[in-house]
Parts: sequence; structure tokens; C-alpha cells
Amino acid sequence: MTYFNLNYITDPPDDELVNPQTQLNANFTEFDNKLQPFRKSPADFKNYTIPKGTEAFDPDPTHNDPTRIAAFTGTTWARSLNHIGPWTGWQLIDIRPPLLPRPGFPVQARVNSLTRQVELQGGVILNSTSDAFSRSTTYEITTDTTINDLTFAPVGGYYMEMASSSAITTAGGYAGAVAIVETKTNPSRVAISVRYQGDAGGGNFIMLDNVGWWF
Amino acid sequence: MGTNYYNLTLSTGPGNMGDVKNNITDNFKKLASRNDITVIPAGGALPQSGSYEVGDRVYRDDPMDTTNRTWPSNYLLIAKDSKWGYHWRPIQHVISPWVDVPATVISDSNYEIHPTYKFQVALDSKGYCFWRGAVRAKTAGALPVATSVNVLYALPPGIRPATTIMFPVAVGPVTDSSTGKAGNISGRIVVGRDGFISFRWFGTNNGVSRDVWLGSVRYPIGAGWFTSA
Repeated sequence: MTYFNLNYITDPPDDELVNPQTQLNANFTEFDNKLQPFRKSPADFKNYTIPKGTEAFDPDPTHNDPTRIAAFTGTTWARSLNHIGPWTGWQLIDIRPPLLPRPGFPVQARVNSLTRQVELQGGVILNSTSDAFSRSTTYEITTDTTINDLTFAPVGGYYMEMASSSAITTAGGYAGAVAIVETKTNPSRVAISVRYQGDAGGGNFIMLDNVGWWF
Repeated sequence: MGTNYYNLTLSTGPGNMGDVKNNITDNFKKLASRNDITVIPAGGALPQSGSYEVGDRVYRDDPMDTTNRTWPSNYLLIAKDSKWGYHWRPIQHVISPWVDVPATVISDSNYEIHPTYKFQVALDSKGYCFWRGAVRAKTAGALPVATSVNVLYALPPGIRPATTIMFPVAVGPVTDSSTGKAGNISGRIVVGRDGFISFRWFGTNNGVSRDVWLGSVRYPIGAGWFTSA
């Protein structure tokens, strides 16, 4: 299928046999219909054969948005998708002892099944007195069964991203932390872990607000 | 001899219709598919080669199925670069397929794309660019701290950020402190509005860090112009 559906004069050419009405006029009408700059809504193509991928501007009646662009699929028109709807609400996730949620900043997750993203917010502390984390000890932070669903395993089974940590008071000291998301077995789950990677004495909490991955 | 753009044959004979096949039928045949878009099969890879120019579109024939997260969509070529490959922005779908960035993007012979966690890029229909995966030093051992390295060639126009941005990048693994080899290390990447890329690692360099995770890099595209390589 082509964009312009034209009539061709049968070979061998013989101008005595050209029927201007059926063979030429129909072609010029086809050009006229499909080349008009403002004839670009899906309805305007209703009576014309067009190939997949043909685009048309399509008003969105719900949001009064005249700039939505539709693509012809061969049978119907695919509209541009809503960007906001696919995110779930924030869901609290359980924190695995000995770690605790940082007071005022519970750990929550949300999922976008369309773009296949998970995002976290909130933070954890080591214990009820917010002692400093030890360097390079990895803590699995959640036993939550919702986000542990293997559906949400990161691509490749492993993901690491910087997490923020409380400042260290020692001059010249260094504070930093990472979050690790990985697929584990026994039981099979998606494990979210944190690891403090700064100097001793820092890291009274680890925040996960910027952490997100693709499943 | 034909017209400039579509190579249409122009009749030179006076009077009658002349050669109908050359002057009419063949011209119509040249025009028939002029507005056709390349159709990529459902789930197929978007082109990484071919005569496409920035601004060209292809259509990927995916099913309309938001449950399985597939959606038919046109994709607009917004970057075409000998180092970074071709990058297509979705129009109807929310997000493009993830594209493996080719190994040609590595500018430093001490580094490579992680063989398991491929460095990939996706674009969304709002104009965001997302990275995931990792690059790593070719040999195990600590990354050099307190010095900046490029690692990657400059981003091409079309997928550069609107303004220079800095992101933290996670570096790992670091061995457990009980082994005596623990290091404290982190990293950052600067992604310049002119495409310039710079990494820097912080901390003590007695760790065994090697992998550099790029999943934190997500920015609105906005260099303001498109061009071909």
C-alpha cells in the first residue's frame, strides 16, 4: 500500500486509449485530497486508503488538547498515550529489622507499568538510636512482598545507584552510600539493599529519594 | 533528465500526449509512495543504519496493548552519530525501546561497556533521555580518584541536555571491610549542554571498584538544534 493510490495507464501506451476522467482526473483528485495542508485529522482520511504510520493531528476531547498526534495502524488510529496515568500511588514498604524507617521519611515505592519503572522515596536508619552505619556492610532493607515481586526485577538482575547519606562531622571525612537492587533466590525475590561507603562516623541515615530502576 | 526532487519526466514533445508511459504513468509511479513511512515489524529494532536523516520517521507496528505495554507508534530520528548510534524519539508511545549504545562510544582505552549490564539509552515522548547499564574499567582495581576522565565521546546534538547537569554515579563493588580491602568511593558525571562528558571518582582508592552505574542519568533534551553527523 502506498500513500497515493494512483491509476496507471496500461502498457503499451496509446494516447488514443487514455480516459482522462477515470485515469487522470482520479489521480489529480487523490493528490488534491492528500496534499491539502489542513486536511490532517483522522476523520479527513476516512474515505481514503493510506499506509500504516500515516500521521494526523487529533484533538483530545478530554484535555482540550489540539496537539495530540495519531498514527494509522492499518485499521485504526493510535493516539499518543497519557503520560501521567500509569504511575501507581506511593505504597509503604515494610522495612526489615534491624533497620528502621527514618522517622518522618517512610520508605515508599511506586510503579509505572507502561514505562516499566520503579521509584523509591524515604530513608532508613541503622537502629532506634540512629547509630552510624559501618562502611561496606550491605543491609537488605525490605521484606515487602509487593515490590519483591520478580516482575519488578531490574533489567539484567542487578542495579546500583547512589543514595544520599547524612554528612560526616569529621573534617576531611567522606560520606556516601549506594542502593543495590538485585534478584536473589531462597526465597526468590527482588532484594533492595543499602551500603554505606563513607568514612567511619558518618552515615546516620541513608535516603532513597532519587533511586529508581527499570524492570 | 527529470525534475529536481522527484525526478519526474517532463514532456518535450509539442501537441499530442507524446509518450504516455514515460510522461504520465511512470511519473505517477514515482509519486505514489512519496509519503510512505518505513514500517518496522512489531518488537523489531529501530534502524541503526541506513539512509535516514535527522527528522525522518519510522513506524513500529506494535499491538495496541497497554497491559503488555506495547503501543503502535511513529519514531522520529533526533540523533544520528558515528559514535553514539541512531536515537529515535517516540511520538505515540510513551517511551522508546532501549537501544544498546555501540562500543564506539568509548573514548578511553582503559574502559569498556559492561558485558552483562549493557549501556543503553531510551527516549520518552516528553523529550527526556534515560540511561541505564554500566561501563567499567577493563582491568580490576581501583579507579583513579581526584582526576577527571571522559570515558565517553561527546553526546551528539539531539540528545544533549538543555543545560549542563551533574549526576552521582554509583561505583562498585567495594569489598567488605572484614577483608581489609574496603574503599569508600563514589562518582559523578557531568553531561554538558555542548555534549561534553566528564567522570570523576571520589574517596580513597584502596577499593576494588570497577563498575560505573549510569542509571541515575535522566535529563530533558534541549540543545536547541538538530543535525546529522
